[in-house]
Amino acid sequence: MREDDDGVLVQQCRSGDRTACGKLVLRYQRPVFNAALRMLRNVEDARDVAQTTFLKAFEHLADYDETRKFYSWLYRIALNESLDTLGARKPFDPISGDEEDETPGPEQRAEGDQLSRAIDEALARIKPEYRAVITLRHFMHLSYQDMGEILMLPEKTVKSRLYEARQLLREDLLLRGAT
Amino acid sequence: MANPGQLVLINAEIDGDLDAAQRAELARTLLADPKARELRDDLRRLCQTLDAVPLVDPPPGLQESILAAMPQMAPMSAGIPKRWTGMMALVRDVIAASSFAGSSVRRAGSISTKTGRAPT
Repeated sequence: MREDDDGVLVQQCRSGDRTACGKLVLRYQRPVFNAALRMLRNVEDARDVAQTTFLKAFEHLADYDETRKFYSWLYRIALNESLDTLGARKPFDPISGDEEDETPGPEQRAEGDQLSRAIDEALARIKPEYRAVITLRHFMHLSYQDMGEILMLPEKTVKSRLYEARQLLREDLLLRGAT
Repeated sequence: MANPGQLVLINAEIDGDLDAAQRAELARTLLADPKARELRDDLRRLCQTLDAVPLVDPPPGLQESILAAMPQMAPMSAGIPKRWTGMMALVRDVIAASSFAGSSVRRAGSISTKTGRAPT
């Protein structure tokens, strides 16, 4: 096992080694922040969720099952925190598309890319559980096995949910003439 | 609306999950059904666009703020449920108390040795 493997760092972290915790934060702050950002579409909320995710992870490190991947456990916390934030934000209207969009817009990434922009907006209009599978698969580039671990669902269910999510995005784009 | 079988095949193709027989089945479907071709083209374009979205950098100072917010960490027992760590802490305290009592006895014994009594 390499000394900077997640498992080793987790063990060191459990022994109270803050440097090891810092290495885990450095390694995973980007994907955790991006997962939250895609779910919430708000930089400040995503930052708060990322911070809470790591603090909860370190607080509950004794509960982490070492037979599972550390990042799966971490991303699961991040998604749950994001869903909680979404729930707190709009308890009676979880599926509206008018959340404040502070993500670096697609126009900044690829100017004139209308499809990217339209997809970004369509993502805000689908249910959070669909947004979660799109985020894990297409933005985090995770396998179905990892997605199943994170969402605590069988791979078959993950696939069918992702297929539905893609289809919903397509229908939304067609409806708005964006394809 | 595409039928569920077509949707599964098209999505599985996008994910690179098709075996040879399924690939042949999809090819036949696409040849025969222009709506299925349209669906496949749309989904492929959609997924390519999603896959190309880059991760953005987290706000500066996130790592520092996380570490600053962390309380001083005591070593914890890996994989042991909290209810057991509580019980173990209690056992540890009891053992520590007995050791202290034992060492007091030894100290008392050494004193008592000076006074000519055998240590207990």
